[in-house]
Amino acid sequence: MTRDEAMGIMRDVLHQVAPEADLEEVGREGVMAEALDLDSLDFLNFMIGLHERTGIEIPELDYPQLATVEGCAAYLVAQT
Amino acid sequence: MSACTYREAIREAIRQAMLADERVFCMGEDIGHYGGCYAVTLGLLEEFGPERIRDTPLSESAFVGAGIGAALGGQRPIVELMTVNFSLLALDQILNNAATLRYMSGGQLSVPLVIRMATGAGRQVAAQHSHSLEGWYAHIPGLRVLTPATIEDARGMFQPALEDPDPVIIFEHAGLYNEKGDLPDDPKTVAIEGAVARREGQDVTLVAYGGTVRVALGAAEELAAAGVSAEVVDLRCLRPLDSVTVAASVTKTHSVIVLDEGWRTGSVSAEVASRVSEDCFYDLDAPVARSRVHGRGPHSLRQTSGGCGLAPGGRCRGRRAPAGGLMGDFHMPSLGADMEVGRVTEWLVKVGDEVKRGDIVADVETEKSTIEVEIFESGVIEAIVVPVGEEVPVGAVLARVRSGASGSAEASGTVPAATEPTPPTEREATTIMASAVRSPIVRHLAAESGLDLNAITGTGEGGVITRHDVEQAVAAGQSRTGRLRSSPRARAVAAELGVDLNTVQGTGPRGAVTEGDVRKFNVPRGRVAASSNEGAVTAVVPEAPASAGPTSDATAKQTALRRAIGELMARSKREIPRYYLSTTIDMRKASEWLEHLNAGRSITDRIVMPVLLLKATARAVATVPEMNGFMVHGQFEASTAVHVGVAISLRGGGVIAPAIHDRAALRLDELMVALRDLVKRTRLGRLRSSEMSDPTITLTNLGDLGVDQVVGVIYPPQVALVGFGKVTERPWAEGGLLGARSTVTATLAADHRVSDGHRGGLFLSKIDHLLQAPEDL
Repeated sequence: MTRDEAMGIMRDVLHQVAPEADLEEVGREGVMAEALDLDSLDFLNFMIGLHERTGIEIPELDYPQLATVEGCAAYLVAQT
Repeated sequence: MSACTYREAIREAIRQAMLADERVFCMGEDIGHYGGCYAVTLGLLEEFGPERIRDTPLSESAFVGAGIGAALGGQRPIVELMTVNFSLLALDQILNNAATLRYMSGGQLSVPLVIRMATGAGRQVAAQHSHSLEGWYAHIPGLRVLTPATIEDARGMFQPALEDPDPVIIFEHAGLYNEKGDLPDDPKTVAIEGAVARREGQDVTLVAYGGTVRVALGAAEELAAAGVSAEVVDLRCLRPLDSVTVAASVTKTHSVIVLDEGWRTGSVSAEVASRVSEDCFYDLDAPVARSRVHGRGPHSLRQTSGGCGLAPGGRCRGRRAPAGGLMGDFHMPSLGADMEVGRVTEWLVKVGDEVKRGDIVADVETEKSTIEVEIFESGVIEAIVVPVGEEVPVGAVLARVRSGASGSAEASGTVPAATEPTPPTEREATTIMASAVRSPIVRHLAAESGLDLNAITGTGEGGVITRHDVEQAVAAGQSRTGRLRSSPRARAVAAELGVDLNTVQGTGPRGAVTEGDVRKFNVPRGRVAASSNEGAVTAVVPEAPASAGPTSDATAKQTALRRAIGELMARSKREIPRYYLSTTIDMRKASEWLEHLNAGRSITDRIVMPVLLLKATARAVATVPEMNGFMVHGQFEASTAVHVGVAISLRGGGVIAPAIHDRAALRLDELMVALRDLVKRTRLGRLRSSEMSDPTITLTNLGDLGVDQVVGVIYPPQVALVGFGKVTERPWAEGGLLGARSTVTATLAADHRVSDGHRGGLFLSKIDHLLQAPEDL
């Protein structure tokens, strides 16, 4: 998976979880939960959405790695 | 016969009295040269001269006092006060002299005085001219208080009022002066006591007086079109109050609505409601209802229904039984105490579609969110009353639904529109409940009632057990626990017919058993048919304002949302005497257990900490009923079901608290799925109406934001709110040693009218206790 593909998937999933949230606003190093006002259930839904699209099992302990836009994209690229 | 107005009828009555008795004279502000501020005395100065039509200074106390003196001296004065508002300046004379002198003098003195004044709103002359204070005068012994509602009464009551040896106050509703009608050339006198039925009816009594009588008659007309027969009782005389006539009517109709423009507290309607409760308690089939005045003062009254702010027809919702035609109406639901209006954004059904109870039929946009609205009747959509885009008040009819399977009403051909509704046939019952097949509710109901599902024969498709089956089994086999809700009338009729109320399914407000339910139950099972609903009430809906651009639309929405939340929270702060408690809970076991559980699970099956807190709260509240339920008219009603509302913040501002039903009975996994789904649907604006309307307690969790403790505001009409802060490691002392431990602070805001700190503390400690054994949750 390329970084662009990962970003595309993130954008799609985020749209389902939080329709009014815009990934472009966050910035590469921005923390998505803070910037987009996601609570823990939103974030979980986001993780589940990523899992359903990519098949990647994301252990709970890895969640912090996926907190930023860049971290999340890099994680997805690295796992495929 | 000759045509005249209410104003002319009074003028003619005064004129005739002055011609017949030279002791009669008039006094008041601007009644002579100006002709009276409502032109009642116009032309009398020219006819009778300034000795008998006397203009007075603006000094109510002085000229009412002069009138009292004249009456004591043998004259027959008629004193006009501009409006009831200014009569307050003369209240000392009226109360301490006019009303009291006979008593003070041991019966030696009488004050044969007539005081006339305008009352009521509707003429947009601001608050100081529009109050309805006649109830205050009705409070005073020694006065007779008349409220003529018709031209005949205005004309016919006048002479007897003059002849009364004691003071009589006549309230002329300002909105009636221009009413036209015919008077016989030789009008009869009308007794100045006793109420009268202005319209006969069987289903509901509307009690009115003065300006509200014509509103009641208009409402009765609309109700008749909907198949509800309303009786209108005109009180005519507020003191002495004729409770006998009211009681006779209520004994016949078994339900009553009192119309009153006055302020609710301590009003005429309050007195009537109180007497109805005293005199007719065992005849009542529904709580006494009263009309409400919108806004702070009568000057702000909307003009839609003659000024008293009453929407005819809409107030009969509480009494469903006799309203054969209303049964199938689908109303704009109230999706929370802060909702007043809603806008249909999409219809998911069309005319002719068959719908089942529980089907989602429309999307409704409120100030807070878009909600999917479920229907509570099965049948066929007959008409869509409110088109997409229109904003209508809560309770307005959105669509009409013909009950029962299509065509069966015509085929059986036995039931006219206005007959009592009948129970659904077995087939219908099955259809209604088929959607609940295998639903968790069946398991919960069975568990709650201690029933073995294996012992129940399923009647659903393929023999599955439906909710109906469980309810039937419960009704057949076991008596219910707790107090059954039923109307006094229903209890009386049940006793008469020998029906066990525990076996009757209630359809009244909040499931109360009504007389109709008892009679229906008593009908032999063979005589059943579907009801039809011709001629339902059509709501008058205001034109939706043209939508502006998207930005101003969003701003307006945000403003409306803040206002809605603000009003509800202000009401909470104003009305609820609350207390707060907080406790710190050791979360080590819960955190470790959860971590361990999630480590072995796929991502889709993981559980988050808020679910544990939710579950513990739901389990705990089930054991402390004072935290779970609603405050209704100052009385607490505990809820047997636990529906915890979860405060979910809306992105862009605002908060909404939908509920997951019967949470105490859901397993953690089910709860997790339900909560995820709920949050997701909140974000997408896909909440359902039932989720919005009935949370019994609210939980708010701000731990995600690092908040330590939440001291929340109770959502009226609920009575408790639980808040959780962040679950994090904090210093913890145990056995004299200090260490770090995962903890959370739980707070409770609860209503002191229902519980005390002791019960609140018990509730919090129960939550704590449950979280120490997470595996049992």
